[in-house]
Amino acid sequence: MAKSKLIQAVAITFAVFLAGCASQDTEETSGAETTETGTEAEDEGLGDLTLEVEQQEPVMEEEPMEEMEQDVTGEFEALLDQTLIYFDFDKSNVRTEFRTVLNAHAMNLVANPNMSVVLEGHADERGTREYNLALGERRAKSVADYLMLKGVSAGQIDTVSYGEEKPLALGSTEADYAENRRVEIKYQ
Amino acid sequence: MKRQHSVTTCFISLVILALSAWVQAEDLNIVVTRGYDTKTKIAIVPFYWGGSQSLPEEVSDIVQNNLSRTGRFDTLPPRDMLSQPTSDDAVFYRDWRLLDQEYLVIGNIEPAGDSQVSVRFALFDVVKGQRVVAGSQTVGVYQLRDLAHSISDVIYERITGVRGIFSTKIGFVTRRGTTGNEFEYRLQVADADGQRARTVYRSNEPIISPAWSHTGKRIAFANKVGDRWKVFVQELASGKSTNISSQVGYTSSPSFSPDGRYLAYVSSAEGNPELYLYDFSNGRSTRLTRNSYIDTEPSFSPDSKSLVYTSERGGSPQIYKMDLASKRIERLTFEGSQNLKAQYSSDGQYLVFIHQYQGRFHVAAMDLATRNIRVLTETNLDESPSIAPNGTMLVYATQKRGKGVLAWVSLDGQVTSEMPSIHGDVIEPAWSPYLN
Repeated sequence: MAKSKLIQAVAITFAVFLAGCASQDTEETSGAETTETGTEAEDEGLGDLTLEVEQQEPVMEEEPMEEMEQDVTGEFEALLDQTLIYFDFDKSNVRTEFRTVLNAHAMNLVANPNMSVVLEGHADERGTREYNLALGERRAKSVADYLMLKGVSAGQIDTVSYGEEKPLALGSTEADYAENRRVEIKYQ
Repeated sequence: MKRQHSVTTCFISLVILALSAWVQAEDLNIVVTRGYDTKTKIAIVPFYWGGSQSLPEEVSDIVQNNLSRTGRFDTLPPRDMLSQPTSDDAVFYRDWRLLDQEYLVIGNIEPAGDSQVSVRFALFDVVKGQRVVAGSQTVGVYQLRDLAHSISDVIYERITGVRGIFSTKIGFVTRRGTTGNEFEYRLQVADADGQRARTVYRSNEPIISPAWSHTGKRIAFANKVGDRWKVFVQELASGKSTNISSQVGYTSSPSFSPDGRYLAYVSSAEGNPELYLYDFSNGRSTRLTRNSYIDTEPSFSPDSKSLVYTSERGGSPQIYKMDLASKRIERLTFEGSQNLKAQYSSDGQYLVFIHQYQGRFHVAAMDLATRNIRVLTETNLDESPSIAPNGTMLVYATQKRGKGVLAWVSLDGQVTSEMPSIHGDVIEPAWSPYLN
């Protein structure tokens, strides 16, 4: 029950927001590829919304309003169901591909000021526990900063690092490590 | 004469140290996996017991295991001995020369009433044909293990010239799965040989970074409590603890100054993991670092005047040194894509730390005079190196078959041994200072 009744309204806003972005899309993509340098906080990051827009545009023209609402709501809910944000080794910047998901969570939180999230930062097992605790903290803070940049109030967000202490994957392969370098978004 | 005196002092302080109420927990055995080529040959004759009931400890076995574990001694199995003397006048050096032995240890234990026993031991130099040292002490039967460690210290020091570490302790954390995805974490303190582990703190949330105070009377560590990590400082004798924490962010990575005045720690309360210095005299904390990078894992120099720590200010985690008076910072490591969690040897000549080399994480040592780095371990995913107070060995955490285990390596990288865990993982070891 993390998602409120307002979800439909938010979803429609989201759809309109996406549509609004559509015309800018081509120009935006080239300018948005700055993730590796860790400057995502300054970047509005609209470049990744292409996919959703392309699916939505014909819908808006051809289908009745009610059906569109349902589709958009479904899509929005699907985005909110994604609560894992992954990171590169020894990095804490939000990768471009996770902006769509984070934008959805941001809009949900902005529309529901009584909702709050805990952002849990995690690291893979390589390196020391203390350094990984710091890295998990930085990852959680990085996601928190992104959400606040999108208008979420600081009071709705808490962060906690688990360091390398709670891996999702228990193996020691590169794929396991990639799965463990994450922030989990937990609605309270 | 001076030597004889120090042995006596050693035994007196042992009695003062005599520990009560040790709770027997899981005992861990140590397996030596690699050793020196030229070892000192020593015969330890099973100690004679003059009482009727059996003793809780085999003193000579404990001494033998202690010496073997250093990798510097080759002990003679009792079945290969030509004689088993229990008093000085029964020692015939030729018996031991025939067996190519360099040193001989004998001992006897007599009942002394009221659960007390009198223990006497002597160490002989077989090559020179003379007694090196002898000592005797009356202790309670449940202090026999402490006495055995003390005897091991005396023998080790007389033969190698280096103070022994058998009476020191090791702190570590154990982690066991309970139900589902839940774990139980225990902070434990054990003898340096891994025996007699007792739990000093337990939690269902992670415990990391145990650190000893300079006297060995207190231990600090970090524990996740709800959504916060707090630093606890616990008195070992009373179990009484205080904590340092903040309303936001995490607090962790404690390290006592060797002069006993400060506790360095890390807090992200002001947005980013930064180093702080807590002053025990006034309870105030001072911030030491101020930047947008991770600064963590502070550890004091032996003179308490500077800290080494891990910082990613240069783009990847490396070891830096900060002079506490001037706040001047110097980068110490340049080799390797990552270097983490440094600690000084007690003589200040070496740093040991975790070194990432070809994608693997090993324990390495740096000679501070030459800045040369030597990789000490062949294991991977090594963490938390902690040097013994005599600087000969260090203990660290690594993985074996997916389980966390403790391992030892000598500072010259020649000897390694490990302590297989019986249940769950053993992580985050910390070697105590000398306790007497």
